[in-house]
Amino acid sequence: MFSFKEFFINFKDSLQKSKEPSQIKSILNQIISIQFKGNEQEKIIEFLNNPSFKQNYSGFYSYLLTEIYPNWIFCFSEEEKNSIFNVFFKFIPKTYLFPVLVSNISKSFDFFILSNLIDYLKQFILSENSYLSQLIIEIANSDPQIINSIYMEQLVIFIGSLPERVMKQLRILQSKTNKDQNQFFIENENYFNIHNYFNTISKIIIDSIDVLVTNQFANGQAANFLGMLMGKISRLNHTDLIVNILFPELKTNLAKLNDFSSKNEWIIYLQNIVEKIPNNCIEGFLIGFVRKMDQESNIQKNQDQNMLLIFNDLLQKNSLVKQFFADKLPCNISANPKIAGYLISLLKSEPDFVQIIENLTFCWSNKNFIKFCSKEQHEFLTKCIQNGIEILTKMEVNQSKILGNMLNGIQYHMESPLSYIREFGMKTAEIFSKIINPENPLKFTDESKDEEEKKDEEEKKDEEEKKDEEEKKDEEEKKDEEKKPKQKLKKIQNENENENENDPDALFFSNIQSNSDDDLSDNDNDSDSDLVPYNLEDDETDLDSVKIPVYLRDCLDMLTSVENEPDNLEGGLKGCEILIRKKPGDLNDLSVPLTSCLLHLMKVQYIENFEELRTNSLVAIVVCATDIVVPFLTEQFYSQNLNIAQKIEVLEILSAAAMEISSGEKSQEQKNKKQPPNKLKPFSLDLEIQPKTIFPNLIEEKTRKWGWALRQKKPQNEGYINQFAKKIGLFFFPLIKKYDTRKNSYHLLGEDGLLLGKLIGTFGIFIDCAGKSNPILVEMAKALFDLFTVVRYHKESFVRSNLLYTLYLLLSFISSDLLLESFSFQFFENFKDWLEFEIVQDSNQNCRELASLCLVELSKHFK
Amino acid sequence: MKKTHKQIPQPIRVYRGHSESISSVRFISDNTIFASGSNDGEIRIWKSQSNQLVSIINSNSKKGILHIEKIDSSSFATQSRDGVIKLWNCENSDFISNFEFQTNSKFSFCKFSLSLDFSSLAIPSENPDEIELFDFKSGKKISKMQTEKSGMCMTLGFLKDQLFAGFENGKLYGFDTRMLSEDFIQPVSSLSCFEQPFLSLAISQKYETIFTGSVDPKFLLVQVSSENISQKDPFSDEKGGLILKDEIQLGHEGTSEICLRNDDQIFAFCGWDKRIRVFQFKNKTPKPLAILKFHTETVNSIHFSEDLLNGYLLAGSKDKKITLWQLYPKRKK
Repeated sequence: MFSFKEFFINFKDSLQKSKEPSQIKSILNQIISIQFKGNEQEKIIEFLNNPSFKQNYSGFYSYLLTEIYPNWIFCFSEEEKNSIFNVFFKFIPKTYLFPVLVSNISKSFDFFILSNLIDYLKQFILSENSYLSQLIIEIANSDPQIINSIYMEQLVIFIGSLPERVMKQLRILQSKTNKDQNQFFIENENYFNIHNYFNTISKIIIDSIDVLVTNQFANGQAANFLGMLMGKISRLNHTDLIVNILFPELKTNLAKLNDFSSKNEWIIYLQNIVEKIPNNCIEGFLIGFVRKMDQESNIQKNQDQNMLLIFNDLLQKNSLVKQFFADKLPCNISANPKIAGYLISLLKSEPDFVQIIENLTFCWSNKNFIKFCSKEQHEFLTKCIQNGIEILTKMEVNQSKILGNMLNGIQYHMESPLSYIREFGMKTAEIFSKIINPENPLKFTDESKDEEEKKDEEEKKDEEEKKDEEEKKDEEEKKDEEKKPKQKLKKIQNENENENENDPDALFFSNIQSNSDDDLSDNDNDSDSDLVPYNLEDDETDLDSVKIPVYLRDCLDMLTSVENEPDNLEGGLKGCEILIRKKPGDLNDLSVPLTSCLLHLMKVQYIENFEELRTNSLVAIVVCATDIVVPFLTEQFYSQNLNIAQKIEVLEILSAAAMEISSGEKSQEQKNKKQPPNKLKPFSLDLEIQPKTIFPNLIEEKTRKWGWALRQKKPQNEGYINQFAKKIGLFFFPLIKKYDTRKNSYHLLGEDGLLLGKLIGTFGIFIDCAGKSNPILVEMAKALFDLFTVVRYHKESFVRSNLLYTLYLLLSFISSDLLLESFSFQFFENFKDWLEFEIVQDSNQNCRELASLCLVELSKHFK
Repeated sequence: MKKTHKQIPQPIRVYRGHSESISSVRFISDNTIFASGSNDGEIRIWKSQSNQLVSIINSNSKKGILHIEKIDSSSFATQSRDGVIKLWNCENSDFISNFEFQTNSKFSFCKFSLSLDFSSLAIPSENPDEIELFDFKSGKKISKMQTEKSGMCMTLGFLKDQLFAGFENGKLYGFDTRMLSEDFIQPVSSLSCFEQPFLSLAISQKYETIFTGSVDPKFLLVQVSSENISQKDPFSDEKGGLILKDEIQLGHEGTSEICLRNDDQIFAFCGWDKRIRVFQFKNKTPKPLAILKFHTETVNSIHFSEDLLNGYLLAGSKDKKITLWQLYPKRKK
């Protein structure tokens, strides 16, 4: 078989030896006559699928580009240049050419070489017939074993990083060259501007889908590459560009379909590509897609195509996508309420649709959700639930937890002071009651109706309700809820007329009223008309600076009413820690709501030391009400409504609290006290000490006083009981129980290495705080070694170093007897092998050092 | 009764984050962005549509920022207490200072004033009784003005080509800036307004009226009559066409800044009483509209937005907070 290796090496040698332009020319011509002749397309495919070419081309081409071309090109005439050099670039597969060009950019510090490289690279991103589209077609024709996914990933990384590489190199060169070439830099900076660049790339991708489908090249190989590329673009935050171009195409193709079940190759291929987007980028892509749908639905009102249906197949195959649509989008990422209908019709065909709705209603009925989520988010989730419930039957509702969730949720909504939340609750309740009780559905009256009318209606309802005994209880609950806000409003309206300002609620509502009044009066606000003055009463009392609460319950109230009263946040936060440390009687009752409130507190305003105050308060709660708060926090850690930053915070709070508990209460008190001055000062020749102060001190020291030693308190260094040793189980076991479940939105054993590393590090801190020879450590070790066995070869050094740290503590804290009793010798042999591997192979120095420490500890046990 | 009184107004947003007393606040670009300067030399750029902080600029002035003035929608000028004037330009969403010059103002309380076409800048000199006029583009001194034993200059303002200055002795002087001379330019008009030092003034170009405030517990409106600008009586202390028009008695001392809305219909002033008082200026007479009470320390600076649709009013105070108020927005017809 013909060997490219020898071929390239031979010619490279002879090129290096030659010193005359004619020699170079003849050698190059020789290469061309041997290899680069015939049909261009066939030749490219031949090279493409030849593994020996792939292995050996890059060195030769780099040499050609950086050595031969710049040094000898001036000896070539324009024709020769075309016939010789351009042939080289024409015949080489673009799949191989691109990496060579890109990797040479950062090496070229010569203006001439760089400008050449950039000229070639520009060919890749032409708007028409670009090399990149050729590259995509090449990949479609390639052998999956030669162009494997690893190679594709490299290509995608090169494509993604190209603008940055070019810009960086241009900046370096611009500082060196004179101003004559400025035009060149400006032009290229425009060309490789990140926005323009990714826009063209997106265009090329979408165009090539067309080409692939029409030429019937559309296979898995190309879909894989395009999926990766689209994922990369989403990951670099340019989803909007690709979606902007994708949408019109998608629309025209969807329009061709009468029914979604009929087949369109383009759409099927697009589905294939989306399926191949890597898991770590898919969410970005989906968010971009939904955002674009948002805008589209604003522009076009009669959009009857449900674009989300292209994700139909993917939903069953990829759990992340399902998680996104069934949970994240409705509960965490808001969208236009119009999309809610599309979303539900997408989810409708899912086998566990009832379960999905159950989860949504659970989120909807959560008090914290009602309190902390934005109006848009709330509206979207409400719309989703309204659409979803309509599909369900009474049977399904009764069998699941939906009924309970909904009743709670509606009650909380009705209690809310905000009118829009009450309205959401009412509308949902109306729809819900149609399913529970189709003959006599619940109907809420407008808030503005007269009281008499309402009374009549309610009486009628009462009579009717008596007939149906089964549903009586539910209905009554709702009716009570319904009365409350209405009565309140009525009252407020009356009070408004009398300008009664006693009731804070009334003030709030009258403010809203007066605002609407504002609009009216300003309408006829001509240049000379009178403006209506505000209340000009000015009590001469001055405003106090921020109020600090005196009771814990006040503090909680202040923190929960932050939206209405911005000053409350500052006061509440400042007072919080001090109040908790006093351990008031109601701490146990209030600790969970307080923790939850602090954990979700957003930094809406700029407050000095906001993070510090919040963390200190949280740590204080954990220390003072450990038994109640720790189970709550560990449960929250695996719940769905915390983001990654909050989860990390939970871990940090737990470890800070563990450290404080283990150091004992006394040391905490000592910290607050000032250190007693040390009597015995070392002799010093400090001349600045005044004699006035020296002599009284000397006399004091020399004077003998009876009983002085007894009266004086010695600086104590008393021992203390490590309270944490007893409580470590409470901290540790709930956290380690669920690390491998996928139910939480983060995949700890998968790509979320940061959280995993942090979790393992926190375990290490727990062990450190628990102290040596604690019997519970053996039980912990059993659970931890299970975890370690799974993740010890984790690819992120952060995880490995935390793991080694925790392992080191475990090995040094447990006595040899206990350790050898609980684990087999073979088990440790296994770990020993791994540690030896770490010491030699690990790329991170910290890991290598920790591994050697662990090995020392391990060998101590086997003396 | 035509209409009932409205409720007590509350700020729509409160911005926190400065670690020192705030000395100046100004809207900059399209009224969506505003700048605030504080006594530690920090300038912060904020968004008015949300509570977002856009950037923090360190002006490198240890004595702190005294005054900020908008030039156009992407640039503004600052005066630090050591008399350095800096011009800041927005480049790639970052504010960069590309021009600065040193003036002789060392008293660190009189804010500079820019002429209406932004060509010249008036600022007190290092000597009492004196004011200097600089070319704002080049930073070169054009001319200087002098009064007789009036103490330090406290506040400045342009009315067309005239420069008005309030002094420590409570007198208001008018100068003609068109006069060019090597020597000191003498005032063309003057009026005794207050017994105690001047603190602030604002000028309505439309009605040719000067709004003045001082340490005295009163607020005066002075009418400028252009016909009578020549000297009336050379021996009298009072010259020129300045006529006392109206007087508002206040229950407190100290008016730190006065601001007029773009349409010259509404003006507001703030001061040592921690409140902002808003008035309507109709038929050339003031009518009280609102008392804005929120701050817990002296309010140092206020500014109306140019865009009347929003009707925003900014206030920066010694209590390190900035408040944004919405008052009488004009609706589109």
